[in-house]
Amino acid sequence: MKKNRRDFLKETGTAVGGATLAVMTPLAPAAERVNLSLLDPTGAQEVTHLFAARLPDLNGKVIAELAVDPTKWQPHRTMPYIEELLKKQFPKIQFIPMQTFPMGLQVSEDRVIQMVADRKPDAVIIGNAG
Amino acid sequence: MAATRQAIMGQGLPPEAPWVVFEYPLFLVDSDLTPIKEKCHEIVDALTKWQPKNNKKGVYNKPPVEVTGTDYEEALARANYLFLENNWGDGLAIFPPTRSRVDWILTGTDRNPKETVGGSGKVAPKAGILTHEVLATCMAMAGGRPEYMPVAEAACKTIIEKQNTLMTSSGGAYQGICVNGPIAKQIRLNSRFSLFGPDPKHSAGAAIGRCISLVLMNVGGHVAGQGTIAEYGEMRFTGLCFAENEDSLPKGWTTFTEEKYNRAKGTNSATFFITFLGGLRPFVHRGSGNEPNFETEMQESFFRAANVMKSVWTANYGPSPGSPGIMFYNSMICRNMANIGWTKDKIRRRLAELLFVTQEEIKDRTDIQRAAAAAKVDISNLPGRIPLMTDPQNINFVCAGGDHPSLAMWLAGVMLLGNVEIQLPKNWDALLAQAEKDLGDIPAV
Repeated sequence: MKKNRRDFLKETGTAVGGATLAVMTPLAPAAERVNLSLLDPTGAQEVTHLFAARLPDLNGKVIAELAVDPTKWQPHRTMPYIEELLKKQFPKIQFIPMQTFPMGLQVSEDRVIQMVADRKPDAVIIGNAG
Repeated sequence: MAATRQAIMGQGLPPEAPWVVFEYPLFLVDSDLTPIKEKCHEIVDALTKWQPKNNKKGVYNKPPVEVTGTDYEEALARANYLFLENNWGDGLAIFPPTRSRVDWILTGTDRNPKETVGGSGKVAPKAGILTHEVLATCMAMAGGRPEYMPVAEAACKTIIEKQNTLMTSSGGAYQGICVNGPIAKQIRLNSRFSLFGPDPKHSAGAAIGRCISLVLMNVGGHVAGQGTIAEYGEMRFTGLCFAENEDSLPKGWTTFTEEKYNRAKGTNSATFFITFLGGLRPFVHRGSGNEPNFETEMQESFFRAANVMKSVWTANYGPSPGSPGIMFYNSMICRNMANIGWTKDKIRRRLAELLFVTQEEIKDRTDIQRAAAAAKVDISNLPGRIPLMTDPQNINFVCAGGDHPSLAMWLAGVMLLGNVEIQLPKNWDALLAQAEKDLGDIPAV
């Protein structure tokens, strides 16, 4: 195993460049290692909710859309395009457009979540995160 | 994506999600949408097939971590490297949060170490749980002391109550704490020269501010590029942590917290705020010296103040009473103004009068014209001076800074999130006595 300079000096007691570690000759008793036990600064994490079961098929399902802003991250273009692509694959799929719900950071507020739940969608697509 | 993970954890979900990731160019104006077509199957899979790896409710704690070294110096270095590797450090050297050091910091609170701070203890956006022990751990890392804990606890109560996520955004928001009451002097918090540091004789602000930064980063998940996408970060090592110079206020002038929060003078309290519009903007208060009288010099200082106060930061325009901020005048300037009859209200009214743009300034501004058209506002019918601060109460005053006539400071875009009364532990006098032994006498100023 490759040794670093410090280990080399310790084990040999070699004097280099005027510095000597004579007290650390191989004959001297091995110094006790210092152990630090450090508390975790990140706090516990609580999982209070689980993800919903996935849908077996998207045909005939209602998908709600939530957007974090109306234009800045281009959801006014991406969401309709996603609708278009999914409708080609699943002709009976339905969407609740993003304009139905408030936009901005409040999309994660309880009142908005309740507004979405009241519409009873089968799934939600959230975008476009910044 | 990492930022989204923190947000998902903040909703109480496991730290993973059925996401479909696109590169930034997709989200720009007039972008190519082809990547959506290419990844459409991933969107379908996310809705129909995806399964989480961890799908159990519960509270997840992490055990202490161990480092070893041939001597204390090496162990200290390894502790610092490990914390950086784990995204727990801020790049400055930390004090290792050992059991004994954290227990020592915990003598600064009467609370049970396992008790959560401010109710739930959950710090946005990640919603990590802040107990008094975790707060003391961050305080230990920051090089803090037990007597700093009451201020940190008060600030964290506001952080937890308000769950503000502005610091997760790309803007350069950062946090601040303004302390009022006798505790400021007792713990050596700065209210004068080098107000925002560094000042070795008033070191409390650096440690408390850094502790709060570490709480936001570690417990709240504000890790660079992950829990926060702040492009520049600005003053996030310590934020701003200072005291108002209450003792030197001119006669008749109230303290910031008397005026804003109706607190009795002498009440210990901590005001937690976020600043998000470019933060500190100094301006030259002092004139050239050739003014005909002192009143003129004061009046002309308001022009310079208005120059730094009126710059508009955002690309979104809408009706607004003006962006709140804090004006820092040191006690010398406050007294000079008071001596010629200026009150806080008179100053804020005059400053608000000077905060305007003219028709000429906006005649070529297509962005403003577009916003006006969307709001059905005819720009040509606006007054010659279009006010930027219709509510002068958005100009807050704090008497602080070194007593010198040259500069004053405007802190822009201030969101005052809350003011909490500071609770002192029963052993407060003993803590202060120990601080005198460790740090020397409390500085006279």
